[in-house]
Amino acid sequence: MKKTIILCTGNVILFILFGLAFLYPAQQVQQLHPGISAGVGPMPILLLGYLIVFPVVYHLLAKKYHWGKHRGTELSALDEREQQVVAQATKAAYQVLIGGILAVIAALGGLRFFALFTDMQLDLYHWAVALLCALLAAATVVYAAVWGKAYLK
Amino acid sequence: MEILTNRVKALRTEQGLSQEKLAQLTGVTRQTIISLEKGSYIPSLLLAMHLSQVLGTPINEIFSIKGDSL
Repeated sequence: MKKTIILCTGNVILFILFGLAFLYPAQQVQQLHPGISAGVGPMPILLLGYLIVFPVVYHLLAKKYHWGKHRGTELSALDEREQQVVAQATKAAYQVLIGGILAVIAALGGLRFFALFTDMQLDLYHWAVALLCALLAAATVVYAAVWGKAYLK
Repeated sequence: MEILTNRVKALRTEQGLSQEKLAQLTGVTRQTIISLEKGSYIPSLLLAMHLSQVLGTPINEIFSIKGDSL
């Protein structure tokens, strides 16, 4: 139970940081003649730090709670009942992802269409990254919720 | 509606086995034994046979169907 909660929480944080890193990759962007001057923003550095720290923290927790290699991911199962639990949670997350991707495509299309008739400056890249990262986080939360509910049943 | 009931808890207590021990002997997690005893999990035939072996009781004496029959 702890393993799945920790992994899912870790994944949600990863998706948020991943989104922020790609939404705000640079800082102090200046137009020069010729060229551009920019520095790496804090978000990509934070993401990089997280990508280094989280596996170490997870490894230490795995040692403490004796999770072992075969229990390495949230999709692993220790027995037949856990296989059913993982299957239910995966199905729910899959449904959220598929439905969500369609909704994201529709939302991006809608925004683009709306922008045609207004003076709105549409930044499709930012919207797409934000929506997709939010969707990944939502699917992970749904996975964890369904997993927890089925596990404790 | 048919419901599968079981006597796992009674048989386990009779034999002085803890849930953890029964889980070890049958190769499942303790949570699975808990769900099984609550009646919220229907085991596979393989697990039912393992339980039958460990508890020394025929499967049909561990599990029974209640409700409308076929």
